[in-house]
Amino acid sequence: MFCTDIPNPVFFIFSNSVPHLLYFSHIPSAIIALILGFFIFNKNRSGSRIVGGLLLFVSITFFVWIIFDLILWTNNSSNLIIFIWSAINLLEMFISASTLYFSYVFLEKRDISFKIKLFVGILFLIYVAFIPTSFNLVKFTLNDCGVEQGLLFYYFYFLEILFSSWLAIYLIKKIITSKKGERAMTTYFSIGAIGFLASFSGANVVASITERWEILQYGLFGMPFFMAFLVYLIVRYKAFNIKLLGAEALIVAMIVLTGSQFFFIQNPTNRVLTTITFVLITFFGWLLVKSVAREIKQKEEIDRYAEELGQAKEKLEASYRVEKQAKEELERIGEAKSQFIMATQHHLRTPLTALKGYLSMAIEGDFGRVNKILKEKLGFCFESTNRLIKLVNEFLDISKLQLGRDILEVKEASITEILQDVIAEVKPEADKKSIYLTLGLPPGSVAPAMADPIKIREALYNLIDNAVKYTEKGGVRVSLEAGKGEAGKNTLLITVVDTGIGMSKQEVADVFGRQFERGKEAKKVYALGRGIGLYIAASIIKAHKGRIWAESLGQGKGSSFFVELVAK
Amino acid sequence: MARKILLIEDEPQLIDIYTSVLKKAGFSVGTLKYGEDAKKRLAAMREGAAKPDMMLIDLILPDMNGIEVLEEAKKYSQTSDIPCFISTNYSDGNLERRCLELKAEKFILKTNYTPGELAELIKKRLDG
Repeated sequence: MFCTDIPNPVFFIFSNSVPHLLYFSHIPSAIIALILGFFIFNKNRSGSRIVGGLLLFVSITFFVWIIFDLILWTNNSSNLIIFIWSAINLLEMFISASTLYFSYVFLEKRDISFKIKLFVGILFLIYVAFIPTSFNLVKFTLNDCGVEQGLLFYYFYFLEILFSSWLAIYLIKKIITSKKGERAMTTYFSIGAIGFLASFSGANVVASITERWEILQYGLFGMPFFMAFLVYLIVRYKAFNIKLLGAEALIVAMIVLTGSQFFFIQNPTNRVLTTITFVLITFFGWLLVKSVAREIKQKEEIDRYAEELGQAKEKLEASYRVEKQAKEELERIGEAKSQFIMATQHHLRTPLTALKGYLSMAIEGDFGRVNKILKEKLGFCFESTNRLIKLVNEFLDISKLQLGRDILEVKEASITEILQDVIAEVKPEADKKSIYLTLGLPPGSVAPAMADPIKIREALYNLIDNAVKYTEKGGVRVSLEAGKGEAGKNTLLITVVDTGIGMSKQEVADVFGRQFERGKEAKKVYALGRGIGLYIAASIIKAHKGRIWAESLGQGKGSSFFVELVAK
Repeated sequence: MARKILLIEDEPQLIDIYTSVLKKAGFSVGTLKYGEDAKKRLAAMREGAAKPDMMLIDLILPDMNGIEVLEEAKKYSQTSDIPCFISTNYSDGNLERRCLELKAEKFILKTNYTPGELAELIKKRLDG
C-alpha cells in the first residue's frame, strides 16, 4: 500500500488516519507556547525587549514547526513533503539556537557577544548552503510518504546536539556560580529550558535516526513543561517584570488542559461533559481570579499604607531629633547662663564682703582703739559699702530675672507666715523712723497660696520695705484677705497702705516699670533708691500669674499697693 | 572647752575675718579650703574623730560645690546631727531650696551680714 492512497486531510492537517495523541501533543503545546510568547512580549515593556522578543521568536517558530509537522503527518503530496521536510529541520535548528540565545539573555541580562553570533551564523550558513544539494534529501519514500535523508542530516543532528549540550553546560555552570538569592530561580529556569530542548531535540534526533516518528510527539510535551516553569518564575519571582497571580496562571492552565481534551475526545457524551467542565472552570476560575486579585490589591494597599506610615514615623522621629537637639542647645545655654550668674555673683560680692567685714571689725575696735573721727569716717565707708552691696544685689536680681534663670518652685506657701516674717524684718526700720507698721490678718486660718515661698517673700519684702522707706509720718498698714477672683477662683489679697509721699497719676502707671523715674519728693525722702525693688516685685508676682497694682490719691496723700495671688 | 566651728571657705580674707571674729566670740575655729578635704574630714568623723559643734559651709569652693559637702555630712547618721549653716555669696532660689531640703539650718548671703552679726547668729543657734 502506498501512502498516497490515504485521503488528503482537511485544512492541510486534519485527518482520521493518524494517532489521536498526535493532535493532543501538538496543538495545545503550540497554542500554549504562542499565548505565553505573546503575553510575555506584550507585558514585558519595562524590561529588556530582546528577552521578550526572543521568547516570542521561539514560540512562533515552535508554532510553525508544529503546523509543518502536522502537515508531514497527514499529507501525501511529495512536493509538499519534500519542501516542508527541508524547512522543518531549519526551523528546528532555529528553535534550539534561539532557546539557547533566550536563556543566555534572560539570565545574563545582556546580549550575546558578536563573535558567538558570527560563529553560530556560519554554522547555519553551512547548513543552508547544502539544503539544495543531494546531501539533504535523497529521495521520497512512497511506503510512508517520508524521505530518505542524506549526509547533511548528520550535520543537522550534530548541530541539534551541540546547541542542547551547550545550553545544558551553560545552565549548569550558571547554577553553580549564581548567587544564593538567585540560585533557586536559575535552577527552575534551567530545569525548564534543558527539559524542553532535551526532549524536543532528543526526540527528533532519536525519531529520525530510528525512523520511529511516533517518538517525536512525546518530545513535544517539553514545551508546555518549559512554559509551566516560566509561568512559575513569573508568579514566584516576577520574572520579566510581570505581575501575575498564581491563581490566574493556575486557572489559565486548567482551561488550556481541559480545552486540549477536545482534540482526542471521540465520544459525544464525553464531549458534552468536557464542555460543561470547561465552561464551569472558565466561569468559576474567572470569579476566583477576580476575588484573589481584589484581595491582593487590598493587601498591596495595606502594605503601601504601612510603608507610608513608616515614612511618616521616620519623619516624626527626625523632627523629634531636631527638637531634642534644640532643647539640648537651650539647656546648654541655660547652663552657661547659670554659670555666668554664679560667677558674677561670687566675684562681685566676695570683695564687698571682705570690705564690709574688715570695716565692721575696725569700727568694733578689733584692730586696736579707733579715735572718734576715724570711727565716724569708717562708719561712712561701712554705709557706702552697704549701699554698694544693695546695689549689686538689685543688679544681680534683675540679671537673674532677665536671664530667666530662676525657676519657680510652686507649692503651698503660707502667706500669713511670710508676711509675719517680713514685718519682723522691716519693723526695726519703721521703729527707727517712729512710724507704725501693722499687720492685719483675717480671723481664722487662711488658705495657703500656690507660690514659690522664697520668691514671694522677696516680692512682699520689697513692697513693704518700699512703703516704710517713703513714709515719714503715720505708718504702713499691711493686711491680708481671702477673696474670689476671676472664674470664681480662690484668691488672696495683700494690701500695703502707707501714709507716705503718694504718687501722681503718671507715677502710679509707671511705678512697676524698670525705667521708673522717681519723683522729686521720693528723692528727697530716700536719696538712694532707684525704684528697682518694685519692678522685681512685679516681675515675681506676674511670674506667679498673680496681679499687682498701685493706687494713690495724689502726691502727699499716701499710696496703696495690692497683690492678688491664687490660693489653693 | 571652747565650742568648735568648722569653717569651709577658700577666700583667704574671709577666712581671716571669720576666724578672728569667731575666736573673739569664744569659739575655736578650724578651716578647710577644699571640698575634698572637708569630705575626708567627715569620713574621719564617721570613724570616730572629734566632731565640730557647727559647720559653716561656703558654696563656691575651688574643687566642688559646697552642697556636696552638705550632702556628705547629712548622708551619714554619725555626722548628720552637726548643725550646718550655708554661708555664700551665691544666692539662687533653687540652690537655697536644695540646701534647706538637705537640712541646712540657714542660708546666709555673706554680704548681707557683718562678721559680728554672723557670729551672733551662730552663738544664738548654739546657745538656744
